[in-house]
Amino acid sequence: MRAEIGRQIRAMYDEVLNQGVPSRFSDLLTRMDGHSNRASA
Amino acid sequence: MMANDALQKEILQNIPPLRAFAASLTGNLSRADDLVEETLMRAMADGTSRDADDVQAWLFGVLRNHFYSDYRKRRRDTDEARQGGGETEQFNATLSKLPAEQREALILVAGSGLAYEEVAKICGCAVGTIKSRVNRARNRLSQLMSSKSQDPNSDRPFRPVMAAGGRY
Repeated sequence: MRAEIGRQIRAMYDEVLNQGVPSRFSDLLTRMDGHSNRASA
Repeated sequence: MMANDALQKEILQNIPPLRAFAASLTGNLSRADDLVEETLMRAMADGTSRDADDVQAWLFGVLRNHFYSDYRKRRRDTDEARQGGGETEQFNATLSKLPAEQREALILVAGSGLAYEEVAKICGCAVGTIKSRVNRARNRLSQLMSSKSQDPNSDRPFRPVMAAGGRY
């Protein structure tokens, strides 16, 4: 049962991990980075 | 101090594990993504003095604190609407029956593969506390899963897996 729990948790976790980085987040970081660069320039 | 673009790269690499952790806290991927977005905005706002080694634990800690202090108050509790036909959804529904602190300890140890020491740092408690939460979580889940697989009405019983390799 312990092994089964581990397997299920990893399956759940890996399902999300395997989706990579959605563009929502890479876009957000790019926007924020551009913003802070302008602010510090 | 890390340069901004180095920090940004570190943060980007940590987004998949952050989303996986957030999904386990909220039980729902779209809520998880909202939580991650708010975490990133907080992190970028005060993150320029962080060390590279620390980035994952730091981000997980920011996300966790944000979840418990603000996010959870604004939303209905997480333990709703996790039902679904798939094995993952069923497991998620079972997982949601655990107390939040046990659930997060188990997910961080068993899912992310972080060391107990790292998990303790993220959760702001002693290593022994994490070990005990993980043990209690495993015991409770075992009970819930065995009662489920013995239920004659359950059409998708949990399958025992004898050959699980890896982190256990």
